[in-house]
Amino acid sequence: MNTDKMNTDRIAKQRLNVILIVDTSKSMGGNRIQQVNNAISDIKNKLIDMQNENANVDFYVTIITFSTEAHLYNNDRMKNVEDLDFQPIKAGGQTNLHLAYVELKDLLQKEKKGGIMPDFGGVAPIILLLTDGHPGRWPLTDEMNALRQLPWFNVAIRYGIAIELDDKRTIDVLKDFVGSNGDVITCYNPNLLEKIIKIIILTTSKVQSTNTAIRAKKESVKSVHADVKMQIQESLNDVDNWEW
Amino acid sequence: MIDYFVKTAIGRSHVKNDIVCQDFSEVYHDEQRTIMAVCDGHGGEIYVRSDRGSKFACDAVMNVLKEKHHLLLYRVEKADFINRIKLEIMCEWNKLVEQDLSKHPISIKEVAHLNEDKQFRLKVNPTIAYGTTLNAVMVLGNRILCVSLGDGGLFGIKRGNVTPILFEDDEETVANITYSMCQEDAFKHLNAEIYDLSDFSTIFLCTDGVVNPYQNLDNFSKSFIFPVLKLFKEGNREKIDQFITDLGLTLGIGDDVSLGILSIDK
Repeated sequence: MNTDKMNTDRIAKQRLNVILIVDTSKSMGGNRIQQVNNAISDIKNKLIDMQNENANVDFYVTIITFSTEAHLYNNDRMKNVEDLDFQPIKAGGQTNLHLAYVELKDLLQKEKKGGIMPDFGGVAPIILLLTDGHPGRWPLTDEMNALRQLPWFNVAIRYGIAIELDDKRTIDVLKDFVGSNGDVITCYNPNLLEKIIKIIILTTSKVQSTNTAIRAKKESVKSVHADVKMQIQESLNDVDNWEW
Repeated sequence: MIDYFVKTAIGRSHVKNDIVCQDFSEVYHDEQRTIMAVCDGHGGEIYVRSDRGSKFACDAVMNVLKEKHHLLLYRVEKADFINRIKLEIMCEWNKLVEQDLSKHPISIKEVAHLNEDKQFRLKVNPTIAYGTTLNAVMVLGNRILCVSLGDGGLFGIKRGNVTPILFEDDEETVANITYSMCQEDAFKHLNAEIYDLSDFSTIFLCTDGVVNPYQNLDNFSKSFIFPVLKLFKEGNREKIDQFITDLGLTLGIGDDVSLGILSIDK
């Protein structure tokens, strides 16, 4: 084995996992799912640009869809954003959010334990959960407790979008999911859904990808969460002023 | 016969952001013993003196372990001895930090870029400024003493197998979060163990800038440890030296990198 091979083979940038948990129940049909599809297509292109410009980070995308059942989009546990073959998602079925939590739990483990997270190092993942309906099963105490056992879940930046929903039960479910690591955004106008999704994913991706190599230690993770929240809120305020 | 190599190189994100190299590595060798340490000063902005912290961690290891008589490594009360070593290293590091603070108190200029919360934390506990990991090995007589706190780590090699040594695999250490010499319960996370000389033929000491680009043990073993070991056995140290420089500046994740190799030819 020569050193040239050692130099080039299998040295990776830090991996930044972006995980989208998308409600694809029947009520998401029409404009709502169209907005989500548009957002994901555009996010893919923007993340490819970010990846090309960033020497430290590669972006990997995982999409969990949930309705009557929960699935990994294309059965891909994670894909480098350049290899993501995204075709529009269709809507139909119930809102079994708890099944999406089970899928998420399997993913947020180190590779040696069958998950998608690196055994050494890595960047706190970004998780966005969006839904427009009551969870089919409630409460989700057991599933949430299982997620809270996972260190990768605890460091993740977590956002929730409630689409044209203002009922306390669902908002509470989303708040429980994001905890203090992010925010729940209520989207009353579905025409703005694409923009909101893009603001959350692209802002968090930018912050996370520029903080990798010089960041460390728990309190720094918290401070990055605070930075992300502030920047997203500023961007959303701009949307608010213009269009809400 | 003992053979060794040690190298620290700055990472490109440190060069880009005009930050000093925060890793430190050190080796001591005499007729009786070889001691090697690699330490990684934390990169978060509050750790304004972590480059000194990592140097003090290496110094603490050297100061404590140079004084140990080899018969101590054969004591029946191994647990007591290990606890004493851990305590002495912790005390020595804290002493060096306190001496530095007393000679050079943290200045307003050093903390000007921090928010009030972080400035307050440093005022209450200035030791935080020196946060660092510590990974060290001493070969003495027929024993190997390994000491570890935080990420990066020690990797023992024997008959083609790579074994992480003293890894605290409690799943807490994800996303660049690591245990630190500066935390209040550091003693709890400082691990030490005594091995027989026959347990390993070579030990690699690494900071996370070396390990993390490889993401998992299998890839790290195949793509880094074995090729580097081959170069080391061939005496090709210039190539290893250059590779570590390149890993910091161009190939890796942008972090500082430190590698120690300690080979035991029995």
